[in-house]
Amino acid sequence: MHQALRVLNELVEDGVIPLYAIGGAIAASFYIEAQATADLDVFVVLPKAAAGLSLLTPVYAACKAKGGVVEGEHIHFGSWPVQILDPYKPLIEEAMASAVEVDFDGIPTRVMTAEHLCAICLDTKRTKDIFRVSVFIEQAAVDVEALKGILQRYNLLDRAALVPNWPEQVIHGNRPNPA
Amino acid sequence: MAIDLTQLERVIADKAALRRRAREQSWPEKVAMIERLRDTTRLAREAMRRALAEADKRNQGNPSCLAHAKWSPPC
Repeated sequence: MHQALRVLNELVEDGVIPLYAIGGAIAASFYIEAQATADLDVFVVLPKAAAGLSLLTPVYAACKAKGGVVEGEHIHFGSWPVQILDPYKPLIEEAMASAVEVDFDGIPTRVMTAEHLCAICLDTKRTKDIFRVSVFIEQAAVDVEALKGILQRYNLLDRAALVPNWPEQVIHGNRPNPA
Repeated sequence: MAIDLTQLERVIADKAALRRRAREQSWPEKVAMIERLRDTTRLAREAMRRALAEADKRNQGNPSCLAHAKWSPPC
């Protein structure tokens, strides 16, 4: 993990990428108890080709030059497979822009905010993502009002009904009727 | 069978303490834990795959054994 973060910081310093932010389970683990995962999800603003397509090649080449080993969709740094992801929709672009600067064992890095991580989980809406949002709420690790604002902006507010412990449902008892 | 409430309470308290400790860990500690969990899971999967392959080899030609069992929809 240390090696991966150092390389990502070097990519920014070398001008290969303008910005990156950690998302997924590793970012969630910054706010809540450890969440099982096999890889490190890193969202990277990628250089664009003339036709507007995002280019992964320069990033992969730079990673390989710095000791990364490409295996399938991952680049391995030490024991950590890193998945480089393109911010493929406006919600993720916003999440990247508002990511916070944090410290990992003395290495500066950027993680997405708790609210954006939850919004992305609700957008993805796999079972494990819904579970993750409920853990954020259970551990009071997310500002629900701020999260609601994000969900409203991206037309995702109805997804809150999928979260069993969504505060509004508990307080007002307006859980959707299963019948 | 009577339920031993003291034991039950102890289990619940232990579980709560475990979760509290898990939450109080620093981020690098949590990541190290995820790494251990991931590696242990991978080793367990590999061991299971090896054991199944060996059982399969041992039981070649015996379609009634578990290693050959396949689910099929009811008629």
